[in-house]
Formats: sequence, C-alpha cells, structure tokens
Amino acid sequence: MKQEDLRYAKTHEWVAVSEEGGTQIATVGISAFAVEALTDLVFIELPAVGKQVEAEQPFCEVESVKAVSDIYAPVDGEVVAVNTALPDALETLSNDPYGAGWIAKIKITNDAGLANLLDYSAYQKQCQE
Amino acid sequence: MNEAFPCQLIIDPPADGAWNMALDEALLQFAAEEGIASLRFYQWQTPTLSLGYFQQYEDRQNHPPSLGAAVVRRQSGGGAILHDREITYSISLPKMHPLAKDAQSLYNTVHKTIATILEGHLPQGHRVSLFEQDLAAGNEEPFLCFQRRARGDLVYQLIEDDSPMAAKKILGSAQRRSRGAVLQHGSLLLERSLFSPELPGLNDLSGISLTRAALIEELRTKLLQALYLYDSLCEINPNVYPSAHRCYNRKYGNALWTKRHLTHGVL
Repeated sequence: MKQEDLRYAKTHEWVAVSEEGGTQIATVGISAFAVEALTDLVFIELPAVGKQVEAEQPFCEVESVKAVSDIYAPVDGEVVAVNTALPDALETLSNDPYGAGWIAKIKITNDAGLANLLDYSAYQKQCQE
Repeated sequence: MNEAFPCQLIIDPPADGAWNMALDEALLQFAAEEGIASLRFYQWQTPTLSLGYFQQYEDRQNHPPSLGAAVVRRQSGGGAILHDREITYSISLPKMHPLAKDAQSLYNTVHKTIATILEGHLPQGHRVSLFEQDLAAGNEEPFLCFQRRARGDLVYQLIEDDSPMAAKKILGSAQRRSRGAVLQHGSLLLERSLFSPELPGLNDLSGISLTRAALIEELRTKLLQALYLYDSLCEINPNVYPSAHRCYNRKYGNALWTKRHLTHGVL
C-alpha cells in the first residue's frame, strides 16, 4: 500500500479501509516513523481474533529492546484477522511497514473514529514537530 | 534552550515490589493526564525479582539463586532484575517533553548523566561508559537483564582491558510508552546480592564504597538538570494514590498477573 493513500492516527498507527462483503474493514499497522523511534523490535503481542476493540484504546503491544509500547485501535470494531507471521518475523515491521507488516484487520462497527485520523501530509507534519 | 517542566521529586522508603510497580504506573498515567513529570528513587522491602513484561513466569526456575526472592512483573520490557543492593529510579515524562519522543534519547541522557557522576568517584584505571554495540536481540536472550547488552547500557571496565567481554553491566533501564507519556525505570547495581551472586555491583568491581544516600543526593540534582525538570512539587500529588491502588489490585499485587502465561506472540 502507498503511504500517501493511508490515514494515520496521532499515535502512529496507519489505517487502510476497504469494503468486503458489505462491511468496512480497517487494516492497521504502525508507521515507519514509529518503528524507527521504537528501535529494535523484539516481541509483539497480537490481539485475539474476535476481540472487541474501541477507538483510541490499546489493543496490541509491542516490545523493543528499550520499551514496551501500546498500539491503539483507530476504530470501534471486532478483530477479524491478525498477521500471525509477524511474531516470528518482526523485521517485516521495518522492511515493509505498509504492506507485509500489517498487524490486524478490524471489522468496523462504528466508523466515527475515522474522522479523527490524519491524511498523509498532516501526519508527516506531526512527525516533523 | 528547552522549556523547563514541573516535576515531582520523590524519595521513597522501602516498599513491596507490587506497590513499587503500581506507583510507577500511576506516575506514568499522571504525567499523561496532568503533564507533570516525576523523578522517583525507591527501595525494596525485601529482595525482589522483577520479570520483564513479556517474560514467562516459569522461566524463573532457570535461575535457582533467586527462587527465594519475592517476585513481581514490570510493565516495562527486557530481562528479569533482582532488586536488592541497588539504586532504583523512575522517570515519567509527559509526551510534550523533548526527550519523550524516542526511546534511545531518554535512555542515553539518563545513563550519560549517571556515568558522569560515577566517573567522579572511580579510582584511576577504572571507567564506566555507555555500551556502544548493537547486539542482535532474539529469543535466546539471557533471563537476567544484567546479562544482556544493548546500546546505551552503562558498563564498567578497567581501562587496560577494553574488550566488550570485559565490560560488566552496572546500570540497565527499560521503558513503558503510552499515548501521553513515557516511563523509564532502571537499576544501578551497587553490590552483589546473594540472590544474584553472578552479578557484581559497582562497589565490588571498583573497590570503592559509594552509599545509596550520598549518590541519590548527586543524582537528583544532575538528573533534574539533564532532563529540564524543576522540582516544584516535593510531595506526590494525592490524586496519584487512587490510581496506584487500582494498579496494585488489578495487576501487580495479583498473582494471576504476575504468573500470566503468554503463548508466543498471541494473547
């Protein structure tokens, strides 16, 4: 996915919204900026499929050599898929953060959270502040 | 010049491990909600093993010397630490603080400040420095934090033997980052503990006799300065305590939390 086409949370998650069978699905990952700031990643705790998540609440955690960080859900919904390849290949988050480094897919039950997301240029500006 | 941030300076008496961890989490939340930083020095009522957030409880069986110690789980990552004859600190910074943005800057700033203070006490021929290599981390990392090495760890060695193998880690820190704030806590080993006899402290290695109280006097001043903080608040804000009690009851004082079992990568 092209980073220019994605939307971003202030907490550095990226979101791609697609339509699948009449429902909206949000694919979520973390930005290259966030991966770099976290330094070397060593562990990820993915959410369980079926977990109900709330916009702007933590739904996943990632550990780097220095820190444990929360990853926040950008929308209300239900986790319908997780990238089970990630825990054994965390370098994917650095090498392909907007593609193979996706973390979870969320079936959106309330898309109000989407209105709070930034477009690419606004997110780039936030990262430079 | 950076703006100075208000800070609670806290020097705590000994407490049990669960309370120590609960208060650190409450201070992180306080920094996020109120924009007020904290610099805290604390002690442990009894020798206590703190597990990294993602470590398996069962793995402590692989370290027999610490089996008799109390145990708690941290909210920060990394390896297990046996807290006994050490100085333990925590720093909570709100997200608008310039050092809250990336993990390595805060780590290095705190460790360099402590290194400068320690250098002033060491005899000739001894030195402390920041470990400069990036070692690949993986699943085979040692159980104990002080047997791991990461860029920015503070290590001790004799000047005449500067090989990486001769470097002994004496200060390790770990962070928890949330949306609104970052917590960094760490341990400076002063003396070897009976519960982790393989880990000498700074006094054992250098032959000096630094005391906890004297070092904290130096650390508090220099760390406040290095972190652009001023200690306008000499007591913990009372609003922190209800949050700390909640963290204690739900997490750190609860055996289910301490012993939680992680399946690899997926909860």
